[in-house]
Amino acid sequence: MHTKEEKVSLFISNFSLYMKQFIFKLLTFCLIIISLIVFGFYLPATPRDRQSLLFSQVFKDSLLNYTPSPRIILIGGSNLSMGINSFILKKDLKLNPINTSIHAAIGLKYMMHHTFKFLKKGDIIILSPEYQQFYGSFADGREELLRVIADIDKKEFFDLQISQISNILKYIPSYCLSKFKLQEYYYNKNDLFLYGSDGYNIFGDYSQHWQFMHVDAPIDNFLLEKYNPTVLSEIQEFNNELEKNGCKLFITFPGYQKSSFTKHKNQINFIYNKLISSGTLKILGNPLEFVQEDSLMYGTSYHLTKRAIDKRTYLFMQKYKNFKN
Amino acid sequence: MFFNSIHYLFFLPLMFIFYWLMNNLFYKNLILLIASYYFYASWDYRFLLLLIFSTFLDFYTGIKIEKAINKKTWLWISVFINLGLLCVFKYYNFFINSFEVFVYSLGISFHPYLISVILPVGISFYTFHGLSYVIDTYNHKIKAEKNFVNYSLFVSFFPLLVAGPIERATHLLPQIKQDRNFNLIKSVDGLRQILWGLFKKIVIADQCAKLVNLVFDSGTHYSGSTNLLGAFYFSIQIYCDFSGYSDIALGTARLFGIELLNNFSFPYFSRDIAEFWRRWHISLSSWFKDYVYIPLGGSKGNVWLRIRNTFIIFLLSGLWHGANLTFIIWGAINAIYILPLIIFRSNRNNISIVAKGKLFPSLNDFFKILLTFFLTTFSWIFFRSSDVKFALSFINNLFSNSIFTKPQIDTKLILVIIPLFLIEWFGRDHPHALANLPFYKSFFIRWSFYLILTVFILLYAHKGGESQFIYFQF
Repeated sequence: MHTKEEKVSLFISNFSLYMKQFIFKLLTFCLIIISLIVFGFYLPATPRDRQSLLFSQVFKDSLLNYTPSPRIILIGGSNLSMGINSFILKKDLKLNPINTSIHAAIGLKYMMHHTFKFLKKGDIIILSPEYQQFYGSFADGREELLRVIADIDKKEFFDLQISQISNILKYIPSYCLSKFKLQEYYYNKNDLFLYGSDGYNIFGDYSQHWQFMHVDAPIDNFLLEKYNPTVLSEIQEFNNELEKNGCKLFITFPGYQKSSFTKHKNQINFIYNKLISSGTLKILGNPLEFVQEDSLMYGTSYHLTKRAIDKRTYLFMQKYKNFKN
Repeated sequence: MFFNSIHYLFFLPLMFIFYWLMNNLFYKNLILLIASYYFYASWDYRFLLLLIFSTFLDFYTGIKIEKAINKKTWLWISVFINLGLLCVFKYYNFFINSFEVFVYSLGISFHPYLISVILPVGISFYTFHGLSYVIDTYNHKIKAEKNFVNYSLFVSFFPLLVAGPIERATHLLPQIKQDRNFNLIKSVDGLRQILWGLFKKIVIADQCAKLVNLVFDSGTHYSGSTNLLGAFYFSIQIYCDFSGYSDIALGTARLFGIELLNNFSFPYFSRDIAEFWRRWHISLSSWFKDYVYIPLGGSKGNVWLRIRNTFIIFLLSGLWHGANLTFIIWGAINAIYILPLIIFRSNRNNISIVAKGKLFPSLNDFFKILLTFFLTTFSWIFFRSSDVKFALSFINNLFSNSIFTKPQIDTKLILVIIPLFLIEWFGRDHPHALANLPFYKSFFIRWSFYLILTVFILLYAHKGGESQFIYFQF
């Protein structure tokens, strides 16, 4: 028979033994998972990733590096990549266009900071942010930002703000483990036909869909998000830096789907008034002028058919010329 | 704080460490109580006061019922206030709107006052916890609890607080009052159950949800085959979502040395509707059985009495899920399904586990399982629809010629659902699917299996966002 003290000491020794075993098993399991994640992170971009739209950053960076002045540089999300015809810009404005835009979810903050590194004196910068960029944490980027950085240049992680890092942290396990998916190596190339990295023309406009007709687009929904004032501050700061470096920033608006615009009219006008009231920013037109009929959209509320792309490009040029005169 | 959130990923290990560092039962319970209140307050701290009020009410009335002469008065005070709160928050607008429609049909204009308040999370669950305690105290099944911390923990224990299982005082309170020792085997099994719950929720339910929402939230312009697939996906979604939640809750509780009531027992392998209801949301079904059905006479008495009692509990069960006619119809359909079994007293024909000890079911069992699944899937259409009109047009579309066309939504998800059913089939002899699978003897295969499940969870974790569990709205 054990005494009470012996029972207590036996219990404590059993407890610590079992607990040690439990924690050891758990930590070993976590360690295996973490190792897989780290290993996945350092694996090179998969063939599928290399074919994806996001990988076009390599091409866009080369355009920024090698296009001679005078240059007009377009910054934004897919409202620009699938919403402008740079051939018209080049012909009419006698400037060398560079369309840097890829995907809105990369986040406006990254787009501005990344492009800044490539700018030359005299560059004209056209910023056309999607309206979502001003709401919630959208401007900090999402999974697309992680994929662009991790697949192309991991060093750029060190340039990110804390808010951007915290926004993309949750995508890291999924991104890293996706490197072990067979579909990333064996896939149907036709799946990427419309949104692949080789769908761009020589200026960086996405032109793969120019030959196609309208595709219905669902109406946007960003009503639940809160206005994020830091985005406007970032734009103002970007403008100041550009002026210091002898560049000029102009802000224009996306060719937005009419029904989405109607739904978010108040929020969009709020953004417009904020931009106007900043006093220092050069604004080309207003959101309403750039709105496009639903029948001219291509699958999303920001992607335009060729007809709408040309219409928007001419309108943009008219606003730009009016401003200069 | 959701079970599938990053917040919970930090919260749970922290609580586990603090809890097992304590070697005094009082402090262990206190830590769990504080953790539970923090867990609840992370939803909406204002409703924490309502939870504490409800807890105190039942704690106090429990003592009064035991000591006072007028026990019945105290019982009714508790029942009235508990159900009153539930009615105000959950049913007031529904009944007042229904009354308005009724009065309007008589040609009388009536503009009632409607309240605009969100439903406190878990109110249906903790109200039923409290009621079971008070009724059991009244019936001398349990002695009134004198320690407020113990009682509060029984009502608010965080794994079961917002979506059950609906615990019984006779089952949980004795565990809370008894010192708990760390049990390696149970804790490892708890982790396994959490893993399976997360897999079901994140990999299956959340992916089904995207397609289900597409079919159910965008009108009736989809083909019959698409609607059929949508209804099938919803059957899978609601099972994986709710049983996934229950698995995480039971697994979590086991980490703290507490065993909760099993809430699901492989319901989609049921051979008739009665068996289905013995295996689906077991804690709610048994609550209604013990506190409503049996006091009403249960299956004793003549046929009409049995029919009446069956309808009462199924309609109440429907209403418990929400203030909407669709839930009541869902309850009524299930009552109709089960009636023949009740009338002919064959509702307990299928008690044992299907094909116990065998690899495959018999052809007869297989077709019975398919039929039961089809019937429940049909009733889920009402459960998922926003209103009766939509449900009817959905069903109308389902039985059109377009049922023979190719579905307009993704069918690849079925490839993930098949392994789910296979794993559940092999684990059906046990409390949960992963408890003891045939290949567990090999350490390498066992751990590889856990790793594969974890990788899938991590791959899909952000795709559904930190999506809410369906039963949180009830």
